[in-house]
Amino acid sequence: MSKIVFGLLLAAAGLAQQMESFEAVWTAVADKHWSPEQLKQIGWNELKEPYRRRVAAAGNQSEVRQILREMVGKIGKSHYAISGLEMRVSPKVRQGGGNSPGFRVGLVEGKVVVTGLEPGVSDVRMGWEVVEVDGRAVAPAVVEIQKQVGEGLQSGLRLHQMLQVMVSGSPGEELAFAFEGLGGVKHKVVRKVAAGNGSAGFGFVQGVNVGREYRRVGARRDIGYFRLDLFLDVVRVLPQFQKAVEDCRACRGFIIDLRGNPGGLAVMANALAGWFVQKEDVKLGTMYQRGVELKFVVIPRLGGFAGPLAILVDEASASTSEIFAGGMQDLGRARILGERTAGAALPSVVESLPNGDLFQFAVANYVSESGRELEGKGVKPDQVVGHTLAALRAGRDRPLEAAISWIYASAVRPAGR
Amino acid sequence: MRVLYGLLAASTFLAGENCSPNPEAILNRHLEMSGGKEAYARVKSVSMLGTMEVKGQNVKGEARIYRKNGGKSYTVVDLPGIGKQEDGSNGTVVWDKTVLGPRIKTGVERFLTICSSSALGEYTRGALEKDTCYDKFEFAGEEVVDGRKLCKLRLTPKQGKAEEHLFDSETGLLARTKMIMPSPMGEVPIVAIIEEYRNVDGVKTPVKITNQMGVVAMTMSFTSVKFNEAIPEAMFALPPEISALVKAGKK
Repeated sequence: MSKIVFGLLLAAAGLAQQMESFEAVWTAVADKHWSPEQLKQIGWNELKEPYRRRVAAAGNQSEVRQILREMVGKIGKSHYAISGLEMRVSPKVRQGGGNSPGFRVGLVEGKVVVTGLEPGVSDVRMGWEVVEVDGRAVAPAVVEIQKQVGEGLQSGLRLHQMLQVMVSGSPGEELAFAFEGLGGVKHKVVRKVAAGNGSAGFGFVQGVNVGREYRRVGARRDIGYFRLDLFLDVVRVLPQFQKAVEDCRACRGFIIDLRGNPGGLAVMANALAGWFVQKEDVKLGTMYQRGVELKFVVIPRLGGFAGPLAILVDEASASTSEIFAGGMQDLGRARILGERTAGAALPSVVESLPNGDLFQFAVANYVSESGRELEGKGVKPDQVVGHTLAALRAGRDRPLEAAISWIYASAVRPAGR
Repeated sequence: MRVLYGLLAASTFLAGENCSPNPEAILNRHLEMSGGKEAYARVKSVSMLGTMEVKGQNVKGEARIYRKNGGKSYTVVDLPGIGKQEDGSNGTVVWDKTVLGPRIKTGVERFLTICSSSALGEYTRGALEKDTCYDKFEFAGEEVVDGRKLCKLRLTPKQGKAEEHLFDSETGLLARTKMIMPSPMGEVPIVAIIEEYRNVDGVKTPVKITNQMGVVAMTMSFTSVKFNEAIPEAMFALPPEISALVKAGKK
């Protein structure tokens, strides 16, 4: 067989896979989107032929991805994504390996600053501005990122995620950071990215670290604080959470920090809620699939916590974080503090495509118990409070402080809610 | 040419016999074709080992099912990233222990587990446990699925919503069930498709079943099915969390 014929056969096989992938994406949406009415309004049927022709004419898989992303983008909702390697915003933006360098960052008053530290990290301070990562300037990268994310739906979530990736690394990698601290003092710190914590993924979401932390906070260390960065690793996170609640049964209050948590397994929201709800037959809302309504039921746990509960959120709290925060807010069981959440609250699944890419798509609408659709709207905190540069530089976390103050000011709630 | 037309015309006919409009006859045929009452009567317990897979989502884990006459059962599915999801009955208390937490099943959920007390009752309760589980049996017509003609029965349980049991007109075996399953998350429509039977000690037993629930399809495949193995009673004992709920008087 000549090389040319062989090459043509390979190309034909490749095209067939791309066309099958196109069919799979189009059909998944057509068959599994929760609202045929909404699909009709979008004109999903009419989109098929023009996009099919474009995929047939695409030169490579990367182009196919872009075309498919554009097609599912027409739905105008969160949780539609085609995986691929060319997510790079711009050559100016560093893209690290995804593992935390020991701190979290946020854009506060126009500067990328350290907003949180992993336990045991002592060579970096809250509020330090990140000036360079591995010799690459951060400020121009932020301009590029802001251009990319714009100001639309879930822009805060995307900005947050890109910033974390920009400062991240691969396990064992040494990253050189240049910071600017109080009074413009420069700090150069080399941080070795820790090995993964062995978190268990789910389905196609593998190899991620689920950051979490439990400690006592408050002047008298009588408030429980549990931070969860992702709703995954059920097998270890839920027992750790249970231990935290058990440790804190006599506490004045409990704080769950979901800032920057983009979601994960929705059922974990129900599981967490079970430790704070004593009434039977309550739910965090309802998931509407095509032809099926599933309640986000909460099963009360024996020995749960009946005192004041605060939940911290920000604009990078999405999906399961919003279902949990919005649901608990509707139940009147928690005070939500922080910033309005991302408004990306559609339950979704991830499936593989014939060309090897992954396709995430929404399969249900979520409506909270009070009838709110959080998609595109988010959860509005009961108390809006964000970081300020001055507070961070003084080592203070204003949303956390606000939660602590509220708990100390709250009368102990009666059991049985 | 007429022969060719005849062959073509014949090839468009569906395989299978006409359905009897008598529900008893359809249920009895299933029993007979899957092994007969005597073979069923010899089965006192069942142990099944295999896998459960969420189709298309890269989620697959180990599944084990133990059932014993007297309404005793224990099922555990261990999914990577999720952990053990358990479900059981000691013949009196029906429970589950999932990501949501431990729970005692009541009402229709409990009834549908308890009414079928025999070891092989899960998919054959329509035939085996007629009197304890159901009030009414009706022939509900024929349905064609993938070129197979299925005889449809509508079974009304003493508690809960009517179920449809569809039997292959050719083999007589149960091919699928359609149920509105009560659950804490609400009433969930489930279609269970029996994709494969295996002859185990003279009883054709379902060993590959796909449950379709909304947009999610989960397939249970069993590589090992054994009857009358010695299953320790401890297998059906209540887990401590469930005993605590019983003690606390929680439903």
